[in-house]
Amino acid sequence: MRNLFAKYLEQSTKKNKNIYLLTGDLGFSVLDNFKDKFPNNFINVGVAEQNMVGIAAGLSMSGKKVFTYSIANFATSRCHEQIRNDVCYHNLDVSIVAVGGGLPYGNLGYTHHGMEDIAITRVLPNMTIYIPADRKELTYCYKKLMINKSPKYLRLARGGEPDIHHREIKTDKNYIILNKPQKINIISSGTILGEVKKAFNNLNNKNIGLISMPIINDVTKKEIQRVISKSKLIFTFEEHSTIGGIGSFLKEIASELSSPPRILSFGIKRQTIYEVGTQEYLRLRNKLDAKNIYKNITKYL
Amino acid sequence: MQSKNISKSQKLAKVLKKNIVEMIYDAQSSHLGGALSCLDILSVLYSDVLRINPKKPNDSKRDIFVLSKGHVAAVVYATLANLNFFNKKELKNFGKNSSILSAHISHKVKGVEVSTGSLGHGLPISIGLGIGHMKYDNRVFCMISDGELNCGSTWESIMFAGHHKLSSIYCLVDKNNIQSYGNTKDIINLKDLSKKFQNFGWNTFKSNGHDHKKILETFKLAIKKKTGPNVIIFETIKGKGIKNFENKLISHYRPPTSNEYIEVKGEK
Repeated sequence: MRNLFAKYLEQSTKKNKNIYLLTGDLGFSVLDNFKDKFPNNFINVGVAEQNMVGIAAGLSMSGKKVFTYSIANFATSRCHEQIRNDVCYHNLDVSIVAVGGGLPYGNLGYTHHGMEDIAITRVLPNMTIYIPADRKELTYCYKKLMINKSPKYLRLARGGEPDIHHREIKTDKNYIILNKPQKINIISSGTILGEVKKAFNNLNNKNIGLISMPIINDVTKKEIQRVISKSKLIFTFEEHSTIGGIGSFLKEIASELSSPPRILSFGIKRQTIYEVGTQEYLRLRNKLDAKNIYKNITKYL
Repeated sequence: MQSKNISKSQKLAKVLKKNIVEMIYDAQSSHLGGALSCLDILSVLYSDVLRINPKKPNDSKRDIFVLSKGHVAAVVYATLANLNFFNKKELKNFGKNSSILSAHISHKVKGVEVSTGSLGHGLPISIGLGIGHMKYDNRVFCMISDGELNCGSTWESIMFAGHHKLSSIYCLVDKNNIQSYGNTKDIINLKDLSKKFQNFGWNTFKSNGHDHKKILETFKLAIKKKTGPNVIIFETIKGKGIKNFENKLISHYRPPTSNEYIEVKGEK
Protein backbone atom coordinates (compact mmCIF):
# COMPACT_ATOMS: atom_id res chain seq x y z
CA MET A 1 0.00 0.00 0.00
CA ARG A 2 2.75 2.50 0.90
CA ASN A 3 4.35 2.06 -2.54
CA LEU A 4 1.02 2.63 -4.25
CA PHE A 5 0.50 5.75 -2.14
CA ALA A 6 3.93 7.06 -3.20
CA LYS A 7 3.07 6.31 -6.84
CA TYR A 8 -0.24 8.18 -6.59
CA LEU A 9 1.44 11.15 -4.95
CA GLU A 10 4.02 11.27 -7.75
CA GLN A 11 1.23 11.31 -10.32
CA SER A 12 -0.58 14.11 -8.49
CA THR A 13 2.58 16.18 -8.00
CA LYS A 14 3.40 15.92 -11.69
CA LYS A 15 0.21 17.87 -12.33
CA ASN A 16 0.12 20.02 -9.20
CA LYS A 17 3.33 21.68 -8.07
CA ASN A 18 1.60 22.97 -4.93
CA ILE A 19 1.98 19.54 -3.35
CA TYR A 20 4.69 19.23 -0.72
CA LEU A 21 5.88 16.01 0.89
CA LEU A 22 7.69 16.34 4.23
CA THR A 23 9.31 13.39 5.95
CA GLY A 24 10.75 12.90 9.40
CA ASP A 25 13.79 11.11 7.97
CA LEU A 26 11.83 8.03 6.89
CA GLY A 27 10.80 6.61 3.52
CA PHE A 28 13.89 4.66 2.42
CA SER A 29 12.98 2.76 -0.78
CA VAL A 30 9.39 4.12 -0.60
CA LEU A 31 9.85 7.83 -1.27
CA ASP A 32 13.06 7.57 -3.36
CA ASN A 33 11.32 8.21 -6.68
CA PHE A 34 9.36 11.17 -5.34
CA LYS A 35 12.52 12.64 -3.82
CA ASP A 36 14.42 12.31 -7.12
CA LYS A 37 11.63 13.50 -9.40
CA PHE A 38 10.38 16.41 -7.30
CA PRO A 39 13.29 17.76 -5.22
CA ASN A 40 11.55 21.14 -4.89
CA ASN A 41 8.43 19.54 -3.43
CA PHE A 42 10.24 17.23 -1.02
CA ILE A 43 11.74 18.15 2.35
CA ASN A 44 13.43 15.77 4.75
CA VAL A 45 13.10 17.83 7.94
CA GLY A 46 15.19 15.35 9.91
CA VAL A 47 14.15 13.51 13.04
CA ALA A 48 12.04 16.46 14.18
CA GLU A 49 8.35 15.70 13.90
CA GLN A 50 7.15 18.75 15.84
CA ASN A 51 9.02 21.02 13.47
CA MET A 52 7.77 18.95 10.51
CA VAL A 53 4.11 19.48 11.40
CA GLY A 54 4.68 23.18 12.19
CA ILE A 55 6.34 23.68 8.79
CA ALA A 56 3.51 21.71 7.16
CA ALA A 57 1.01 24.08 8.77
CA GLY A 58 2.90 27.16 7.56
CA LEU A 59 3.15 25.75 4.03
CA SER A 60 -0.54 24.98 4.00
CA MET A 61 -1.35 28.52 5.21
CA SER A 62 0.57 29.62 2.09
CA GLY A 63 -1.83 27.66 -0.12
CA LYS A 64 0.08 24.39 -0.46
CA LYS A 65 -1.33 20.88 -0.18
CA VAL A 66 0.97 19.22 2.31
CA PHE A 67 1.74 15.64 3.30
CA THR A 68 3.87 14.58 6.26
CA TYR A 69 5.28 11.07 6.39
CA SER A 70 6.50 8.96 9.29
CA ILE A 71 5.81 5.84 11.36
CA ALA A 72 2.44 5.91 13.17
CA ASN A 73 3.55 7.00 16.66
CA PHE A 74 6.12 9.52 15.44
CA ALA A 75 3.62 10.90 12.94
CA THR A 76 0.86 11.38 15.52
CA SER A 77 1.91 11.08 19.21
CA ARG A 78 5.26 12.81 19.04
CA CYS A 79 3.80 15.95 17.48
CA HIS A 80 0.20 15.66 18.65
CA GLU A 81 -0.04 19.23 19.90
CA GLN A 82 1.24 20.60 16.58
CA ILE A 83 -1.44 18.55 14.80
CA ARG A 84 -4.04 19.82 17.29
CA ASN A 85 -3.16 23.53 17.39
CA ASP A 86 -1.33 24.25 14.15
CA VAL A 87 -3.18 21.96 11.73
CA CYS A 88 -6.63 21.14 13.13
CA TYR A 89 -7.46 24.42 14.90
CA HIS A 90 -6.51 26.34 11.74
CA ASN A 91 -8.40 23.71 9.66
CA LEU A 92 -5.55 23.24 7.17
CA ASP A 93 -5.03 21.06 4.14
CA VAL A 94 -2.41 18.82 5.73
CA SER A 95 -2.39 15.04 5.46
CA ILE A 96 -0.56 13.18 8.19
CA VAL A 97 0.54 9.97 6.48
CA ALA A 98 1.69 7.12 8.68
CA VAL A 99 3.08 3.70 7.99
CA GLY A 100 3.07 1.02 10.67
CA GLY A 101 -0.56 1.49 11.68
CA GLY A 102 -1.33 -1.53 13.89
CA LEU A 103 1.25 -4.30 14.25
CA PRO A 104 3.11 -4.61 10.92
CA TYR A 105 6.39 -3.63 12.62
CA GLY A 106 5.75 -6.47 15.08
CA ASN A 107 9.26 -7.40 16.13
CA LEU A 108 10.42 -3.80 16.49
CA GLY A 109 8.51 -3.53 19.74
CA TYR A 110 5.98 -1.25 21.43
CA THR A 111 7.61 1.99 20.24
CA HIS A 112 6.72 0.94 16.68
CA HIS A 113 3.27 -0.52 17.31
CA GLY A 114 0.62 1.96 16.16
CA MET A 115 -2.17 1.15 18.56
CA GLU A 116 -3.42 4.47 19.94
CA ASP A 117 -3.09 6.59 16.79
CA ILE A 118 -6.75 6.39 15.77
CA ALA A 119 -7.89 7.33 19.27
CA ILE A 120 -5.71 10.43 19.49
CA THR A 121 -6.45 11.69 15.98
CA ARG A 122 -10.16 10.87 15.99
CA VAL A 123 -10.75 13.27 18.87
CA LEU A 124 -9.34 16.30 17.01
CA PRO A 125 -11.57 18.94 15.38
CA ASN A 126 -11.97 19.02 11.57
CA MET A 127 -10.11 15.69 11.25
CA THR A 128 -10.90 12.84 8.85
CA ILE A 129 -9.17 9.48 9.25
CA TYR A 130 -8.51 7.13 6.34
CA ILE A 131 -7.72 3.47 7.16
CA PRO A 132 -7.55 1.51 3.92
CA ALA A 133 -7.60 -2.29 4.15
CA ASP A 134 -5.90 -2.94 0.83
CA ARG A 135 -4.80 -1.27 -2.39
CA LYS A 136 -8.34 -0.96 -3.75
CA GLU A 137 -9.43 0.82 -0.57
CA LEU A 138 -6.36 3.02 -0.77
CA THR A 139 -7.35 4.05 -4.29
CA TYR A 140 -10.85 4.87 -3.02
CA CYS A 141 -9.46 6.78 0.01
CA TYR A 142 -6.85 8.63 -2.06
CA LYS A 143 -9.46 10.09 -4.40
CA LYS A 144 -11.49 11.38 -1.45
CA LEU A 145 -8.40 12.63 0.35
CA MET A 146 -7.23 14.69 -2.61
CA ILE A 147 -10.43 16.73 -2.70
CA ASN A 148 -10.61 17.15 1.10
CA LYS A 149 -9.06 20.48 2.11
CA SER A 150 -9.25 19.85 5.87
CA PRO A 151 -6.87 17.94 8.18
CA LYS A 152 -6.45 14.26 7.39
CA TYR A 153 -4.77 11.23 8.89
CA LEU A 154 -3.95 8.45 6.44
CA ARG A 155 -3.12 5.26 8.31
CA LEU A 156 -1.17 2.79 6.19
CA ALA A 157 0.22 -0.54 7.28
CA ARG A 158 3.48 -1.48 5.64
CA GLY A 159 3.62 -3.04 2.21
CA GLY A 160 2.80 -6.30 0.51
CA GLU A 161 -0.60 -6.67 2.16
CA PRO A 162 -2.88 -9.09 0.32
CA ASP A 163 -5.63 -7.69 -1.90
CA ILE A 164 -9.05 -8.23 -0.36
CA HIS A 165 -11.31 -6.46 -2.81
CA HIS A 166 -11.17 -7.65 -6.37
CA ARG A 167 -13.06 -4.85 -8.02
CA GLU A 168 -12.73 -1.10 -7.98
CA ILE A 169 -14.68 0.37 -5.08
CA LYS A 170 -17.60 2.41 -6.28
CA THR A 171 -19.57 3.99 -3.48
CA ASP A 172 -20.39 7.51 -2.39
CA LYS A 173 -20.48 6.39 1.22
CA ASN A 174 -17.66 6.36 3.76
CA TYR A 175 -18.11 2.63 4.32
CA ILE A 176 -17.99 -0.35 1.99
CA ILE A 177 -20.49 -3.19 2.03
CA LEU A 178 -19.04 -6.67 1.47
CA ASN A 179 -22.25 -8.40 2.55
CA LYS A 180 -25.43 -6.42 3.01
CA PRO A 181 -26.15 -5.13 6.55
CA GLN A 182 -28.62 -7.16 8.62
CA LYS A 183 -29.57 -7.70 12.29
CA ILE A 184 -26.10 -9.06 12.98
CA ASN A 185 -23.16 -7.17 11.46
CA ILE A 186 -19.40 -7.30 11.43
CA ILE A 187 -17.61 -3.99 11.00
CA SER A 188 -13.85 -3.61 10.64
CA SER A 189 -11.31 -0.98 9.58
CA GLY A 190 -7.87 -1.49 8.07
CA THR A 191 -5.89 -4.51 6.94
CA ILE A 192 -7.41 -6.78 9.61
CA LEU A 193 -10.29 -7.04 7.14
CA GLY A 194 -8.28 -9.85 5.47
CA GLU A 195 -8.60 -12.03 8.61
CA VAL A 196 -12.16 -10.91 9.23
CA LYS A 197 -13.17 -11.87 5.70
CA LYS A 198 -11.63 -15.34 6.05
CA ALA A 199 -13.60 -15.86 9.26
CA PHE A 200 -16.74 -14.54 7.61
CA ASN A 201 -16.36 -16.97 4.70
CA ASN A 202 -15.95 -19.86 7.16
CA LEU A 203 -19.12 -18.82 9.00
CA ASN A 204 -20.98 -19.41 5.76
CA ASN A 205 -23.93 -17.52 7.23
CA LYS A 206 -25.85 -15.31 4.84
CA ASN A 207 -27.64 -13.62 7.73
CA ILE A 208 -24.61 -11.66 8.85
CA GLY A 209 -23.61 -8.36 7.29
CA LEU A 210 -19.96 -7.45 6.61
CA ILE A 211 -18.81 -3.85 6.37
CA SER A 212 -15.41 -2.25 5.94
CA MET A 213 -15.23 1.27 7.35
CA PRO A 214 -12.09 2.96 5.98
CA ILE A 215 -13.13 6.58 6.54
CA ILE A 216 -13.91 8.05 9.95
CA ASN A 217 -15.43 11.50 10.37
CA ASP A 218 -18.74 13.19 11.15
CA VAL A 219 -20.22 12.12 7.81
CA THR A 220 -19.43 8.48 8.59
CA LYS A 221 -21.16 8.96 11.93
CA LYS A 222 -24.41 9.93 10.22
CA GLU A 223 -24.13 7.24 7.56
CA ILE A 224 -23.28 4.34 9.85
CA GLN A 225 -25.92 5.35 12.40
CA ARG A 226 -28.58 4.05 9.99
CA VAL A 227 -26.85 0.65 9.89
CA ILE A 228 -26.40 0.54 13.67
CA SER A 229 -30.01 1.52 14.41
CA LYS A 230 -31.26 -1.53 12.53
CA SER A 231 -28.79 -3.95 14.17
CA LYS A 232 -29.20 -6.23 17.21
CA LEU A 233 -25.59 -7.38 17.46
CA ILE A 234 -22.38 -5.88 16.06
CA PHE A 235 -18.83 -7.25 16.12
CA THR A 236 -15.99 -4.79 15.53
CA PHE A 237 -12.41 -5.70 14.64
CA GLU A 238 -9.39 -3.41 14.42
CA GLU A 239 -5.62 -3.56 14.76
CA HIS A 240 -5.70 -0.84 17.42
CA SER A 241 -6.43 -0.57 21.12
CA THR A 242 -10.07 -1.34 21.91
CA ILE A 243 -10.02 2.00 23.75
CA GLY A 244 -10.77 4.94 21.48
CA GLY A 245 -10.70 3.15 18.14
CA ILE A 246 -13.48 2.25 15.72
CA GLY A 247 -15.24 0.04 18.27
CA SER A 248 -15.45 3.03 20.59
CA PHE A 249 -16.59 5.21 17.68
CA LEU A 250 -19.52 2.87 16.98
CA LYS A 251 -20.38 2.55 20.68
CA GLU A 252 -20.54 6.33 21.02
CA ILE A 253 -22.97 6.46 18.11
CA ALA A 254 -25.04 3.54 19.41
CA SER A 255 -25.35 5.10 22.88
CA GLU A 256 -27.44 7.89 21.35
CA LEU A 257 -30.06 5.40 20.09
CA SER A 258 -33.22 4.51 22.01
CA SER A 259 -32.64 0.77 21.60
CA PRO A 260 -28.97 0.31 20.79
CA PRO A 261 -27.52 -3.00 19.61
CA ARG A 262 -25.00 -4.95 21.64
CA ILE A 263 -21.51 -4.10 20.34
CA LEU A 264 -18.58 -6.43 20.97
CA SER A 265 -15.19 -4.90 20.16
CA PHE A 266 -11.99 -6.81 19.46
CA GLY A 267 -8.57 -5.21 19.13
CA ILE A 268 -5.09 -5.10 20.63
CA LYS A 269 -4.98 -6.02 24.30
CA ARG A 270 -2.83 -4.04 26.67
CA GLN A 271 -1.46 -7.25 28.23
CA THR A 272 0.43 -8.04 25.03
CA ILE A 273 2.40 -4.81 24.69
CA TYR A 274 5.67 -6.32 25.91
CA GLU A 275 5.55 -9.10 23.31
CA VAL A 276 7.21 -8.98 19.92
CA GLY A 277 7.06 -11.17 16.86
CA THR A 278 5.68 -11.18 13.37
CA GLN A 279 2.44 -9.38 12.66
CA GLU A 280 0.85 -12.81 12.19
CA TYR A 281 2.08 -13.93 15.64
CA LEU A 282 0.90 -10.77 17.38
CA ARG A 283 -2.49 -11.01 15.71
CA LEU A 284 -2.75 -14.56 17.08
CA ARG A 285 -1.75 -13.38 20.58
CA ASN A 286 -4.49 -10.75 20.39
CA LYS A 287 -7.00 -13.24 18.98
CA LEU A 288 -7.20 -11.17 15.82
CA ASP A 289 -6.43 -14.09 13.46
CA ALA A 290 -9.16 -15.62 11.28
CA LYS A 291 -9.60 -18.70 13.52
CA ASN A 292 -10.05 -16.72 16.73
CA ILE A 293 -12.26 -14.17 15.02
CA TYR A 294 -14.45 -17.08 13.85
CA LYS A 295 -14.52 -18.54 17.38
CA ASN A 296 -15.38 -15.22 18.99
CA ILE A 297 -18.23 -14.57 16.60
CA THR A 298 -19.77 -18.06 16.89
CA LYS A 299 -19.58 -17.80 20.70
CA TYR A 300 -22.11 -14.96 20.66
CA LEU A 301 -24.36 -16.04 17.81
CA MET B 1 12.31 54.70 7.07
CA GLN B 2 12.97 58.35 7.88
CA SER B 3 13.82 59.60 11.34
CA LYS B 4 10.39 61.24 11.67
CA ASN B 5 8.97 57.70 11.75
CA ILE B 6 10.64 57.18 15.09
CA SER B 7 8.11 59.54 16.58
CA LYS B 8 5.34 57.64 14.78
CA SER B 9 6.30 54.41 16.53
CA GLN B 10 6.77 56.20 19.84
CA LYS B 11 3.33 57.71 19.49
CA LEU B 12 1.89 54.28 18.79
CA ALA B 13 3.74 52.80 21.78
CA LYS B 14 2.16 55.35 24.11
CA VAL B 15 -1.33 54.51 22.86
CA LEU B 16 -0.66 50.77 23.00
CA LYS B 17 0.44 50.95 26.62
CA LYS B 18 -2.82 52.63 27.61
CA ASN B 19 -4.83 50.21 25.46
CA ILE B 20 -3.34 47.02 26.87
CA VAL B 21 -3.42 48.14 30.49
CA GLU B 22 -7.11 48.95 30.04
CA MET B 23 -7.82 45.66 28.23
CA ILE B 24 -6.05 43.52 30.81
CA TYR B 25 -7.51 45.50 33.72
CA ASP B 26 -11.03 45.25 32.29
CA ALA B 27 -10.78 41.52 31.61
CA GLN B 28 -8.86 40.94 34.88
CA SER B 29 -6.48 38.99 32.68
CA SER B 30 -2.72 38.38 32.90
CA HIS B 31 0.60 38.49 31.00
CA LEU B 32 0.93 42.28 31.12
CA GLY B 33 4.66 41.97 31.92
CA GLY B 34 5.54 40.15 28.70
CA ALA B 35 3.32 42.47 26.69
CA LEU B 36 5.11 45.54 28.03
CA SER B 37 8.51 43.98 27.33
CA CYS B 38 7.81 43.63 23.58
CA LEU B 39 5.56 46.66 23.10
CA ASP B 40 8.31 48.97 21.79
CA ILE B 41 9.65 46.34 19.38
CA LEU B 42 6.17 45.73 17.96
CA SER B 43 5.51 49.48 17.70
CA VAL B 44 8.58 49.91 15.49
CA LEU B 45 7.91 46.69 13.57
CA TYR B 46 4.34 47.66 12.67
CA SER B 47 5.08 51.37 12.14
CA ASP B 48 8.25 51.19 10.10
CA VAL B 49 9.13 47.68 8.99
CA LEU B 50 6.20 45.45 8.03
CA ARG B 51 4.85 45.82 4.51
CA ILE B 52 1.18 45.25 5.28
CA ASN B 53 -2.07 46.88 4.27
CA PRO B 54 -5.21 46.74 6.43
CA LYS B 55 -7.30 47.05 3.26
CA LYS B 56 -5.61 43.98 1.77
CA PRO B 57 -4.79 41.74 4.75
CA ASN B 58 -4.25 38.71 2.49
CA ASP B 59 -2.13 40.45 -0.14
CA SER B 60 0.20 37.82 -1.58
CA LYS B 61 3.14 40.26 -1.43
CA ARG B 62 2.70 41.15 2.25
CA ASP B 63 5.15 40.58 5.08
CA ILE B 64 3.99 38.18 7.75
CA PHE B 65 4.23 38.55 11.50
CA VAL B 66 3.83 35.52 13.77
CA LEU B 67 3.57 36.04 17.52
CA SER B 68 4.93 32.81 18.94
CA LYS B 69 4.65 34.10 22.52
CA GLY B 70 0.89 34.05 22.04
CA HIS B 71 0.11 35.03 25.62
CA VAL B 72 0.72 38.70 24.85
CA ALA B 73 -2.06 38.81 22.26
CA ALA B 74 -3.39 42.06 23.78
CA VAL B 75 -0.53 44.11 22.40
CA VAL B 76 -0.96 42.73 18.86
CA TYR B 77 -4.75 43.21 18.92
CA ALA B 78 -4.27 46.80 20.09
CA THR B 79 -1.69 47.39 17.36
CA LEU B 80 -3.92 45.99 14.64
CA ALA B 81 -6.90 48.03 15.85
CA ASN B 82 -4.79 51.20 15.84
CA LEU B 83 -3.73 50.39 12.27
CA ASN B 84 -7.41 50.04 11.30
CA PHE B 85 -7.48 46.29 10.70
CA PHE B 86 -10.62 46.34 12.80
CA ASN B 87 -12.63 48.80 14.88
CA LYS B 88 -10.88 49.96 18.04
CA LYS B 89 -14.12 49.58 19.97
CA GLU B 90 -13.66 45.81 19.62
CA LEU B 91 -10.76 45.98 22.08
CA LYS B 92 -13.28 46.43 24.89
CA ASN B 93 -14.35 42.82 24.33
CA PHE B 94 -10.87 41.43 25.00
CA GLY B 95 -11.18 38.24 27.03
CA LYS B 96 -14.92 38.68 27.52
CA ASN B 97 -17.64 36.06 27.00
CA SER B 98 -18.24 35.17 23.33
CA SER B 99 -15.44 37.46 22.10
CA ILE B 100 -12.95 36.21 19.51
CA LEU B 101 -10.27 38.32 21.21
CA SER B 102 -8.84 35.49 23.28
CA ALA B 103 -6.02 36.20 25.67
CA HIS B 104 -3.81 33.90 23.58
CA ILE B 105 -3.59 35.15 20.04
CA SER B 106 -6.24 33.99 17.57
CA HIS B 107 -6.20 33.91 13.75
CA LYS B 108 -9.93 34.61 13.87
CA VAL B 109 -9.01 38.26 14.52
CA LYS B 110 -8.46 40.29 11.35
CA GLY B 111 -4.78 40.89 10.69
CA VAL B 112 -3.60 37.99 12.85
CA GLU B 113 -1.91 35.35 10.69
CA VAL B 114 -1.46 32.49 13.15
CA SER B 115 -2.97 31.35 16.45
CA THR B 116 -0.50 30.36 19.13
CA GLY B 117 -0.56 29.97 22.88
CA SER B 118 1.40 26.83 23.50
CA LEU B 119 5.06 27.78 23.34
CA GLY B 120 7.47 26.53 20.70
CA HIS B 121 4.98 26.49 17.82
CA GLY B 122 5.53 29.84 16.10
CA LEU B 123 8.99 29.44 14.61
CA PRO B 124 8.27 26.11 12.82
CA ILE B 125 5.07 27.60 11.34
CA SER B 126 6.99 30.74 10.31
CA ILE B 127 9.48 28.59 8.44
CA GLY B 128 6.65 26.88 6.56
CA LEU B 129 5.22 30.31 5.74
CA GLY B 130 8.66 31.47 4.61
CA ILE B 131 9.12 28.52 2.25
CA GLY B 132 5.53 28.78 1.02
CA HIS B 133 5.76 32.51 0.30
CA MET B 134 9.07 32.63 -1.54
CA LYS B 135 7.49 33.81 -4.77
CA TYR B 136 7.31 37.52 -3.85
CA ASP B 137 10.22 37.74 -1.39
CA ASN B 138 7.78 38.08 1.47
CA ARG B 139 9.52 38.38 4.82
CA VAL B 140 8.39 36.46 7.88
CA PHE B 141 9.00 37.99 11.33
CA CYS B 142 8.47 35.68 14.28
CA MET B 143 8.63 36.91 17.85
CA ILE B 144 9.61 34.36 20.47
CA SER B 145 10.14 34.66 24.21
CA ASP B 146 13.29 33.63 26.00
CA GLY B 147 11.26 31.01 27.91
CA GLU B 148 10.43 29.48 24.54
CA LEU B 149 14.09 28.75 24.04
CA ASN B 150 13.56 25.87 26.49
CA CYS B 151 11.40 24.14 23.87
CA GLY B 152 12.89 21.38 21.73
CA SER B 153 10.64 22.35 18.84
CA THR B 154 12.15 25.86 18.81
CA TRP B 155 15.62 24.39 18.44
CA GLU B 156 14.43 21.92 15.80
CA SER B 157 13.34 24.89 13.75
CA ILE B 158 16.47 26.94 14.50
CA MET B 159 18.62 24.08 13.19
CA PHE B 160 16.39 23.61 10.13
CA ALA B 161 16.30 27.30 9.14
CA GLY B 162 20.06 27.59 9.57
CA HIS B 163 20.76 24.49 7.50
CA HIS B 164 18.52 25.68 4.68
CA LYS B 165 19.81 29.29 4.86
CA LEU B 166 16.29 30.69 4.87
CA SER B 167 16.90 34.37 4.20
CA SER B 168 13.27 35.48 4.59
CA ILE B 169 13.10 34.41 8.25
CA TYR B 170 13.58 37.01 10.99
CA CYS B 171 13.37 35.69 14.53
CA LEU B 172 12.86 38.39 17.16
CA VAL B 173 13.76 37.31 20.69
CA ASP B 174 12.07 39.30 23.45
CA LYS B 175 14.78 38.58 26.00
CA ASN B 176 13.21 39.84 29.21
CA ASN B 177 15.05 37.22 31.29
CA ILE B 178 11.99 36.05 33.23
CA GLN B 179 9.82 33.08 32.31
CA SER B 180 6.72 31.56 33.84
CA TYR B 181 8.13 30.40 37.16
CA GLY B 182 11.44 32.16 37.59
CA ASN B 183 14.50 33.73 36.00
CA THR B 184 15.69 32.11 32.77
CA LYS B 185 19.25 32.06 34.07
CA ASP B 186 18.15 29.89 37.02
CA ILE B 187 15.94 27.53 35.00
CA ILE B 188 17.87 26.94 31.76
CA ASN B 189 20.73 29.39 31.46
CA LEU B 190 20.92 30.54 27.84
CA LYS B 191 24.39 32.02 28.43
CA ASP B 192 25.68 33.35 25.09
CA LEU B 193 22.50 33.06 23.04
CA SER B 194 23.98 34.78 19.96
CA LYS B 195 26.72 32.20 19.76
CA LYS B 196 24.16 29.39 19.85
CA PHE B 197 22.25 30.87 16.91
CA GLN B 198 25.52 31.58 15.08
CA ASN B 199 26.62 27.98 15.46
CA PHE B 200 23.46 26.92 13.67
CA GLY B 201 24.13 29.29 10.78
CA TRP B 202 22.10 32.38 11.70
CA ASN B 203 23.07 36.04 11.27
CA THR B 204 22.75 37.50 14.73
CA PHE B 205 21.99 41.04 15.87
CA LYS B 206 21.56 42.54 19.30
CA SER B 207 19.62 45.59 20.35
CA ASN B 208 18.10 47.35 23.28
CA GLY B 209 14.41 46.50 23.01
CA HIS B 210 12.98 49.81 24.24
CA ASP B 211 15.01 52.48 22.41
CA HIS B 212 13.02 53.00 19.20
CA LYS B 213 15.93 54.49 17.30
CA LYS B 214 18.17 51.52 18.09
CA ILE B 215 15.36 49.05 17.36
CA LEU B 216 14.79 50.51 13.90
CA GLU B 217 18.51 50.70 13.13
CA THR B 218 18.88 47.03 14.00
CA PHE B 219 15.91 46.04 11.86
CA LYS B 220 17.48 47.95 8.96
CA LEU B 221 20.83 46.20 9.48
CA ALA B 222 19.20 42.77 9.55
CA ILE B 223 17.12 43.44 6.45
CA LYS B 224 20.14 44.82 4.59
CA LYS B 225 21.90 41.51 5.09
CA LYS B 226 20.00 39.70 2.29
CA THR B 227 21.23 36.36 3.60
CA GLY B 228 19.73 34.49 6.47
CA PRO B 229 18.13 33.36 8.61
CA ASN B 230 18.40 36.37 10.91
CA VAL B 231 17.82 36.72 14.60
CA ILE B 232 17.61 39.93 16.59
CA ILE B 233 18.04 39.45 20.31
CA PHE B 234 16.30 42.33 22.03
CA GLU B 235 17.31 43.02 25.63
CA THR B 236 14.06 44.03 27.29
CA ILE B 237 12.51 44.66 30.69
CA LYS B 238 9.56 42.57 31.71
CA GLY B 239 6.76 44.88 32.89
CA LYS B 240 8.51 47.95 31.38
CA GLY B 241 6.88 51.21 32.34
CA ILE B 242 4.95 50.11 35.42
CA LYS B 243 7.09 50.41 38.53
CA ASN B 244 5.60 47.48 40.47
CA PHE B 245 5.84 45.22 37.42
CA GLU B 246 9.34 45.94 36.17
CA ASN B 247 11.60 42.87 36.27
CA LYS B 248 9.14 41.05 38.52
CA LEU B 249 7.73 37.55 38.04
CA ILE B 250 4.35 38.71 39.34
CA SER B 251 3.98 40.78 36.14
CA HIS B 252 3.30 37.50 34.34
CA TYR B 253 0.21 36.88 36.43
CA ARG B 254 -1.52 39.76 38.14
CA PRO B 255 -3.68 42.33 36.37
CA PRO B 256 -2.97 45.98 37.09
CA THR B 257 -4.67 47.46 40.17
CA SER B 258 -7.18 50.30 39.73
CA ASN B 259 -4.51 52.77 40.87
CA GLU B 260 -2.00 51.45 38.36
CA TYR B 261 -4.67 51.58 35.67
CA ILE B 262 -5.57 55.20 36.50
CA GLU B 263 -1.90 56.17 36.62
CA VAL B 264 -1.19 54.76 33.15
CA LYS B 265 -4.37 56.27 31.77
CA GLY B 266 -3.21 59.71 32.93
CA GLU B 267 0.27 59.40 31.37
CA LYS B 268 1.10 61.93 28.67
